[in-house]
Parts: sequence; C-alpha cells; structure tokens
Amino acid sequence: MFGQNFSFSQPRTLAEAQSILLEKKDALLIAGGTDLIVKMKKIREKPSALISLKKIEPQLNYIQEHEENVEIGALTTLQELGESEIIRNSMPALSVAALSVGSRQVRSIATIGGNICNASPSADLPPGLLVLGANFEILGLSGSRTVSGAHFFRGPGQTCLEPGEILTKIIVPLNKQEEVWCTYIKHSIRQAVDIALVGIALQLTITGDRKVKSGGLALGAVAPTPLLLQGVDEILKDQALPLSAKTKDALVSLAVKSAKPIDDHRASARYRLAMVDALTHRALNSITASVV
Amino acid sequence: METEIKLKVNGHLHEIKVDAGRTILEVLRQDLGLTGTKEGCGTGDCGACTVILDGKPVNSCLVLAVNADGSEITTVEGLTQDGRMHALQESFLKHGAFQCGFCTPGMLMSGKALLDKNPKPSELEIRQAIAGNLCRCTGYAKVVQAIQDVIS
Repeated sequence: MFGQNFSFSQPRTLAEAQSILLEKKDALLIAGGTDLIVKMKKIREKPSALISLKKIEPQLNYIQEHEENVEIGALTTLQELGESEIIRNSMPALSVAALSVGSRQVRSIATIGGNICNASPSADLPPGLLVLGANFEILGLSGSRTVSGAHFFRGPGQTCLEPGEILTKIIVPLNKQEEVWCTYIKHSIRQAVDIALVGIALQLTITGDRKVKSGGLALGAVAPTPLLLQGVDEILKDQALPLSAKTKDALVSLAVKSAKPIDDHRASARYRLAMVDALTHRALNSITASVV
Repeated sequence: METEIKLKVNGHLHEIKVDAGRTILEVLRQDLGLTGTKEGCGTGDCGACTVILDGKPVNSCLVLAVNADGSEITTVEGLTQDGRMHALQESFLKHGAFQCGFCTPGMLMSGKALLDKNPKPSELEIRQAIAGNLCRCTGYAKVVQAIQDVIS
C-alpha cells in the first residue's frame, strides 16, 4: 500500500493484543478492515502497527442465543449476521441492517465490531442495536466492563473506548414475555454499496391485549452519532393498536425535532429532515401493518 | 519488514515473502502473475477485484496478504480446469454478458460464489450477489441471464 509502513501482528490472546496496543504508539486494531484499509489507502490513518483480531482465542466470531439475550462476538461478519437463523428469528431488524451494508464482498469480511467502533454517524448497525437496548462488553485494562449502546458513541468516529480497550461482545436483550417488533429502514441513493442518507430503527413492544408497552426510535446519519430518541415511551405507552394519527404525528414531530442533520455532498439537511418525517411514518406503518 | 506467508491459490500452494502493507490483489497480480483479477477502484466499491477467499467472495483490494496467511483463494484463472471452461464462463460467452470485459472476472467470481452456496438462486438473489460488481458497459441484464442459465 503506497505511503504506509507498519508492523503487523496476529496475537492469540486479548491480553497480548492489549499489550501491543499500549506499547506501540499509534497502533490500531483491525477486524475486517473494510473501513480501515480504505482510510489507510487515503492516508487518513497512518498506524505504526496493525493488530489483527482474527486469531484471538477463544474466537470473537459467534452468535449465541441464551434465555435472556443473544450474544454476538465483535468479529462476527455482517454476512453471518444477515444469514443467522437466531438473528432472523429473534431480531430480524439487525439482519436487515447487516445486509444493507455495502456488498456481498464487503459483508464477507466486515464485522459488527468494526461497524460499531468505526462509529460513523451513518453506520447501519447502531440504530437497531440502540432501540433493542444492546449493551457492549469492553475488555478494559483491569477487566471487562459493559456500556449501554446509548453511551458508547461520542462523536463522528469517536467512541468511549480508552487506549488499550477492545470491544469484545454485543449483548442484545431478549424479551420473551411480550412481542417485540422492530424494523430498520436505510434510505440511500443506491440500493447497495452506499451510505445511509437517513437510517431509522423503530421498536414497539406489544402486550397481549394489543397495547404498546414501550418503544424505541433511533436515527442514523442525522446527528454526530447514532441518535436514540428520548421521550418515545411517553408518546407510545399504553396506546392501543392501530395507533391513532395523533400518536403517529407526535412521534414524527419528535423525530424531526431531535434530528440534527448537516448539509453534505450527499444531501442537504432540509432533505434529510424531510426524509426523517417520511421514514418515521413508513416505519410506523410497516410495524403496525405486520402486528396482527 | 517482510513476513513469509502461505497461500493456496487455485489449488497450488505458494510460499511468498510480503511486506505488511501488500494486499492479496497486489500479490496475485504482481507476485503470482495472475492478472485476471483487476483493480478498478482499490477501495472495495467496484468489485473488479473479487476473488473467493476461504469460500467467501471478497474484495481482494481490501485484504492484507499477511491477514490471508494460510487461506485458500480461487481467482478467475481457477475457473478453467484441464483446459475446460467453467459452465459460468461458457454461459457468459453464450449470452454475450460482457463488452469491455474489465468487470467480468469479478462478475464470474461473484456468480461462482453464489452458486456454490445457493445452486438455485432467484433473480433477486442473483442481483443481490452481483450488487457489488459495477459494470459500465452492459446494464447487467445479460450478466443476470448468463448466471440464471447455469442454474440446473
């Protein structure tokens, strides 16, 4: 790669990976590399060392269903997420989000951990993870800690990870008492190999008597970070299905008020706000049409 | 700093010394002389560099050779066995599914990767499988037909 001079290691343990991270200034972790290698080619990153997580044991690539949650290893590829029976059955919005990224070739090697830690404001996995209440397990310097998705993202490309820390696992809670309906819509110019102009994830938790117990709405690409909206439960709680126009309008207004998009070469802020409006309606209609 | 890696390419084992910064696209084309795989964009957007790595279609421009140590790679050169073209190649010829031909190796590898996992894909599944292979010439219709024609 032109203009890049770095050492490469493939540690077998997380402890080893951490010690290299701390020892070498400007060392970076590499998972799939579909974001990082592109950045390095454009000389937007110039690491002195790359530390591959591919050979870490036990492997960081897994999807495990438990009674109360699904655990996803950080190195699980987006194609694996998209094809996983467990994810498709219990939280299909995440497989939709995963399959919306890039192309088959990119998804073969891109990972959920990479998508999260790259922390693009328009990343496709975070909105669904946020509305499903996902927690991220991080290996710190003195043991593991768990951070909620909502607290993980700090700014464009910035996360709460401190030097030497490694995201190892994503834990998505399962609710077996109620029905959890979730959808992810990615609005982009192209149908593939494109970045979201607006991303929206909507989650409704429905009780047996067809009322909303709780809900969540998260927006991507319209703020410095993926945005989990506050005030959604207040609008949706105890509303009977089908939702009234008044309730839907209230949620749409909240979404439009909360979004803080910018003008960039892909779209104007005004367009993005108009799309937040349209897509919130679309997400609401899509879920309420599916709930019997 | 050079590392020695092992790559199995089209069934042949190669031991090569590489710098950390070299991608498998560079190694395939420059070190192994397999120039069938093309570089279109270098950033994982066009798919002209598509190869099959450990059974999965990947953009070889994004994979560091050192990260592919021990892997098996199939390139377009590996589709022809004992002088006989793969059914996909014959179908592309029959349907005229290329013009300049630059995207074609990538299209073939995406097609092969699809059929290896899903022998009877729908048209939508074919289009999704080649969504990462950009073609400036054909408009994709004949590529899709050529892949459909291979479905038994």
